[in-house]
Amino acid sequence: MAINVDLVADASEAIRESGKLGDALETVADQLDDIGDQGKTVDDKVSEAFRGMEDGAKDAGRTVEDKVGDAFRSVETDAKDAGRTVESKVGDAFRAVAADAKAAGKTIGQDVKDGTDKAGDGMGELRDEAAGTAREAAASFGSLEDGLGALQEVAANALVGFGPAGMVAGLAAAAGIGLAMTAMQDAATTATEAKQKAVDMVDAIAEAGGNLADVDLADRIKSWGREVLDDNWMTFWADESSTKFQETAKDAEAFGVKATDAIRAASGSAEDSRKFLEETADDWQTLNDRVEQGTRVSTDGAIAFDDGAKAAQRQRDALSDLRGQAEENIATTENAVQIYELETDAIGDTAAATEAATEALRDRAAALEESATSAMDADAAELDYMETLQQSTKDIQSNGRTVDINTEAGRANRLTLLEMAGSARKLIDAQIAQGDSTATVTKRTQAARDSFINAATSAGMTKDAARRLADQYGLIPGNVDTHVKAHNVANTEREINNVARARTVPVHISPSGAQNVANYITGMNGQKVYVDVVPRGGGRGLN
Amino acid sequence: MLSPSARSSALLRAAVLAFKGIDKPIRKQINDETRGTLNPEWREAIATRAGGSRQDFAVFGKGARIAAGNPARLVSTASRRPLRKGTNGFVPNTHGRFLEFPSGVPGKFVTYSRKSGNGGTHKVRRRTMAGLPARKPGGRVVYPAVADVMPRFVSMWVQIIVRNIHEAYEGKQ
Repeated sequence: MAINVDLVADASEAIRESGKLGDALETVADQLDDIGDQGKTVDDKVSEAFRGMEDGAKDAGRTVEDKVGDAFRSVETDAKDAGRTVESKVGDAFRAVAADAKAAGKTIGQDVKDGTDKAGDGMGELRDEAAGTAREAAASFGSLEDGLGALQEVAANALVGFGPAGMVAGLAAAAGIGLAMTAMQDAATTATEAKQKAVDMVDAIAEAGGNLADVDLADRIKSWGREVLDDNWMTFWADESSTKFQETAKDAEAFGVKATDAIRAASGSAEDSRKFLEETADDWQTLNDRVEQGTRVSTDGAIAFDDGAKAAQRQRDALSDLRGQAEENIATTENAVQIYELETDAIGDTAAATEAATEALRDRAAALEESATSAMDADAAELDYMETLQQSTKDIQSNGRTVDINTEAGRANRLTLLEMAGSARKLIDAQIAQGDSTATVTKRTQAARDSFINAATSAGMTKDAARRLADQYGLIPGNVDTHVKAHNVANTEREINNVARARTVPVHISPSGAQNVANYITGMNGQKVYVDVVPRGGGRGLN
Repeated sequence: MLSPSARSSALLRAAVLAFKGIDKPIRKQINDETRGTLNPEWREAIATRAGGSRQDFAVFGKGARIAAGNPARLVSTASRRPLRKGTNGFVPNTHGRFLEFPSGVPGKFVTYSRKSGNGGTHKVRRRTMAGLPARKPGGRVVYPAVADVMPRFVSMWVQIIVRNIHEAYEGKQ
């Protein structure tokens, strides 16, 4: 007994206990809905993560709150909807099977033969579609193994005991938990928009060949400055939208520097930003001091500025914006460099790994092609053989029972047998080339041998003669390896031996020809000839 | 327990029942995919557990395959060809489980009778189990391999069934 392990225990019991297929499936569909509810634990975790981010956003800034919060909420709803759609679709699929089964009035154990009745264009279409999912399924298998480590762990642990969590894990895997994961990633991207700038910068660094100094600043400044600022929370007072160039130019004018310097500080190199910060450090201090000096707090708590302080405050606000942008620019650049370094380190490894994987894939493709060719050869040989077999049986029937090579029918039968044996040998060789197990080849050879013997006996041979002929034609099962490998070696060895072998030539000499023979032998003088002489002719010697 | 039970899990029952009820072309498709996806994994799992042992691979690895069906089945130790030619060769199919669950104690002395050359019998004491693997009730190769792959395989099998049915019916409606 081979050691066999069912993938699912008690399957037949479960089927038997379920009674009517339609009802059972409907129950199962309901249960799946319940599981779907349990599956919310996964959903909930995703939601929690979203909520966590949302809270963070709330703390960060009051005004941002609404917009960012909305963005999160919509992502969250999307993710939930996507998950729900897949879940309900799977449930629907089961229900559809149930409806089908019910409509046909099938019970378990009854063969579902009418499935084949439906086979037609529609079914062909279904098959094609299903074939497409095979690839998807294979892909998700890979990701289940590699990517979603956590999910696999849940599945692995849960499936051992196979409690409710196991079902959820299974359902999650089946329902494509990947959707929720993608949604989460999207949310993370939204939440870290600031990082995105750094990421863009990383691209720019990468384009510049890894050297920060070579980054195309003009391009960067352009794309930064042309960003259109909507009428958003920052500029709710503005009647029309503006660009960062315009805003910065305004600030620069208010503070009293050249707009170009301010723009370069905000979006140029980190060096530009640092220079700007250094140059304005004193002004920043002076303005702060001036504002402080010009500020009077009256006894009733009201704050009053003198004129100089008011102007200084306007200047200070503008400078604050500019300095903020410069600081942000430095942070972004530093982030980008860090990310770029991490990325190149990681990609270095990945590139090697990818190359190895590609190599392996190429090898595998070559091996597949080779095996496919062998398989096709084997199939072709099998078809040939089956055709020959069928034709042979017909031929022998029409030729009648004779293998006498003196008659036409007999010759035809012998030829047919030869063809059969040849075709069978081809099939066996193709199977060996295909790499079939020796057991398979042996079985096939035995079958071919039996067919051959049957055909030969029906053509009029005795069983023994038929067996001998089968042996001669090489239809010897159970000996495939040794036959194929040792047969030619033995032949070659024999041939080599034959060349070097001492030869024995029987010479029959009649008394009357003795003189001729004597002459002949004399004529071979100088050559080495071994002669066995058996004297005949009434006991008289020849010499 | 090696395999999860269909009676204890609604999802597995669903898969098993749906597989039973689905039309033949889709059933065939599911079987093809099951074979195509799981066969290499299963063979690799066996080969990994067999380690470098040629004997283990010859016994457990040869003919290891997935018998698709409801439920799909992991087959190993299927070869009926004796490892060594002759009437008393070790046949994996028949004797494989003795290698999977060896019960001997290597190095233990066993006393048995044998015939003398002159026709009588006498007793000899030999280490008959030397060279055999030591007792291992949990299994040596196949069962650990099954434990390695089972969660993934069950999950995959259910996935193949559900996906195929889902796709088929979604396309139909």
